[in-house]
Formats: sequence, C-alpha cells, structure tokens
Amino acid sequence: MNEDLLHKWLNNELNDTERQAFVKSDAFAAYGKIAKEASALRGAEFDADTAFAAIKAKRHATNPGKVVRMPALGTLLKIAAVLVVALGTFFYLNNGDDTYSTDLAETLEVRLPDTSEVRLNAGSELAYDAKNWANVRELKLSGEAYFKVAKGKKFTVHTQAGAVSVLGTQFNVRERNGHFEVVCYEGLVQVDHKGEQIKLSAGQGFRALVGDASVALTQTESGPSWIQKESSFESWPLAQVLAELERQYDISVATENVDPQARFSGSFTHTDLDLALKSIAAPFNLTYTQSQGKVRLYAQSNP
Amino acid sequence: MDNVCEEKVYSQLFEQHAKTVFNFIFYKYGNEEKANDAVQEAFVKLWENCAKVPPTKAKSYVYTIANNLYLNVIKAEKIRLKYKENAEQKVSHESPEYLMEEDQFRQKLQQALDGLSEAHRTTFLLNRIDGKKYAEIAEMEGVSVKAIEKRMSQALKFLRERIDGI
Repeated sequence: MNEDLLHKWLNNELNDTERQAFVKSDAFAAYGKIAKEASALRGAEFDADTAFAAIKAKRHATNPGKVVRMPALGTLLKIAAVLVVALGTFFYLNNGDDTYSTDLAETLEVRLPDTSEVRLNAGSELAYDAKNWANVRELKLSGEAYFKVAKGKKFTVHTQAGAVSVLGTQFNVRERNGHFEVVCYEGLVQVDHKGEQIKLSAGQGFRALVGDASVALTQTESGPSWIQKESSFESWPLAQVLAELERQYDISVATENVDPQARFSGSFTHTDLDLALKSIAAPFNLTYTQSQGKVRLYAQSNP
Repeated sequence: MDNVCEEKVYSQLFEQHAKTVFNFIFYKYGNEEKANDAVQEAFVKLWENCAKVPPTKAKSYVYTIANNLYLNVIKAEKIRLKYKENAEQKVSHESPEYLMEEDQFRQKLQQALDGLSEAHRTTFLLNRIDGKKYAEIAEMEGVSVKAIEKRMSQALKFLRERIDGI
C-alpha cells in the first residue's frame, strides 16, 4: 500500500488533485475512518490561567533570570533584504506547497505574495506556502537562488544543510551536496548549522565544507558574482566546481587522473564554455577536450 | 531578537506551547495531574534559564524538560478521552442503527488507543487531536520525521487490526 498520500493527508498537505486520488486509495479505505474519528477526540481540560498563576508563584520563589538585552534589531528589520540561497538535492521539497523549478542552463524569476522577488539559478527548485505567506515567510530551496526580500516579518529559507533567516540584510548562500557557504553583504544574517547559530554582519561569511571544520570568511564584493554570469569559489572541492559547470552549461564532464577533492579558488564565466574550461583547467595544469556537450578533463601525462 | 526573560516574550511562549506540553504528557501517561505538574516544571525551569535559552530554542527546551521529568519513573495509566460536542451533533440525524455502530466504533477506538505504546499513542494523538505536523512532533520527541512517519503508520495499522479484527 502506498502511504505517501496518507501521510500528506495526515499533515494537511494534499493539493486538490492528490486529495481526489487519495479518497480512492486503499490507504483511505483502511485508515480514513479511524483517523477522522480520532481527530474528534479530546484529551483532558487544561486550565492555562491556573497553571500560569502557579508558575508565577513558583518563579518568585526562585531567582529570576538575568535580563540580557539584545541589540535592537528593529531598525535592521525595516531594511529590505536581498539574499541568495543555494542547495543540492531535490527530494527535500516534496510537499503540497507552491513549487517552482528551473532546468539546466535556465533561470526563472518568481514574485512572492508580498512582492519579494526570487531569482532561481539553473537546476534549482523552490517551494513555499502561498496561502499562509502573510503569517509565515518560510521557503524551502534546493539549488541556488537570489532573494530580494520585502519588508516584513522574519524571512527564513530552509535548506537541507541548514536554515538561513533574514534579520534585515543582503546575503548569499551556496549549498551543494552538503557543502555550505553563506556570505553577508549588508545588515545581519543568522545561520543555523548543525545546532550552531552564527550571526554574520556585513563583510562576514561562513563556510562548512563536508569533512572540514567550519571557517569564518571575509568578503569585500558588493554582491554574488553569479548574478553577473560568473561563478566564484574560494577553496571549494574541484568536484563541486565541475558540478556547477555542468549545471550552468547543461553539459557532462568526465575526469581522468583528477583529484576531485583538490581545492579550487577562482571563477568561471557562464557565457563562454571554452574560457570557463580554461579557467578551471589551468590552475591544476589539466587538459580538456569538448564535443557535443561532453567534456573530458584530464591530467597531462609525460609532458 | 527578543529575550525569554522579558515578560511579554515569556508569556507568549506559555500561551503558544503550554497546552501542547500538557497534552504531550497526558497522551503519554494518561495522568492529568502529572501533565499539569510537567507544564509547571518546564516553564519554571525555562524562567530560571531564560538568559541562556534563546526564544527559538525555548519550544524544544520545554518539551525536553517535560519529557525527561517522568522518563522511566511513572507507568502509563488508562487514557481517558472524550468526544468533542459538535462531533456528536453532526451524526445525530442518522438512523439509530448507524448511531449504535458509530458508538461501538468509538468505544473500540478508545480501547485500542489504550493498547498502543506510549510513543505511538502520543504521536498519533498529537497529530489527530492537536493537528501537529510530523516535523513538530519529531521536534518534541527528539527523533527524526521519518521515525514519526513510521510511528503513524504502525499506530494506524495496530488500531485497524484491533477495531476491525483484520
């Protein structure tokens, strides 16, 4: 029995088409009545007022917590924010939300209900709940996207590697196959990564590559380079750089005698494949051949 | 961001989460008094540690305190649940036979719920009665969403076997 729709139904996440399919399914026949009847049940009454009064009485018997004032972020929140988020895999977004996706070598502009704008980079997918957008500004993203966030409540982008919340800012996030990089260009960004919360202010960055300790970055550019049709990397694994090249040009890259973990610092253009290949091959002293969307990249033997 | 030590933030957290903490413990152990105690314990602790717990972590903090309070200490009792009023009115136009069948179904459902393990019952009722999504329940229980999905499947299967004898 396929239970995917059942679980979506239990989470109130079915769209109309799925709902029609679900009511005809075996899972609905078997469990629909039990689930419906159970939701008519009620537990014991909870008297919140009495409980809160009791807690207040107990609180006074103990030392009240020290009040630590955080810096006022109210003013920062008023700044419209721009952010870019990137993420690797697609299955993360599988639910009933509004979903947008881009193919290889394609970008897409999406306007959110509050006039925030999102620009999706190649091979990316974005999902959010449009109906509930006024209450919860939360999106799920896989791939890479550039956000211009309108003023309003906290704006959070969830990725598989971590969540990024806008506290009033411009920032750039790249996440590919667990490799995670966030750079803040303006204002303040909070990054949640593996239970760790890091606040980044303008010019600061954070990078956590798979298998490496996270490092702090400094940044002097005014925005991410891919908007200007160029991909930049600092100490990224070569395999991830080649994966990005494949996404940008819709090509496949085969390597021979190349260390995929070698670190690449530099950039490549999105408009000239030959030039882009040169940019990547030259620092590693590699040679390449290309024909019909297939690239072979290899180490020169016996010079 | 706001601070839990601020009365406004604190009482807002109480409003948002106290009832669910209560239900969380009640579904586990079937004991109203213990559930009330757990709410008080969790929120007093939250106050005592308000400077150390950021607001975003407060939710999982109170669930963890409440959950740990009775871990391996008390045995689950028979859980008493009621049907909400309007649910009963809704079926009142039906024939007496149908109503009796419904009544029997509900009795069987209640009995079957008692047979579920603590973990399965808590997950099932938080989803069904409180409308909590799997992700939220996973956060409360400190397990993966996949684990909650599995619990729901197993709970439904168990209940169906008990009720229909399938």
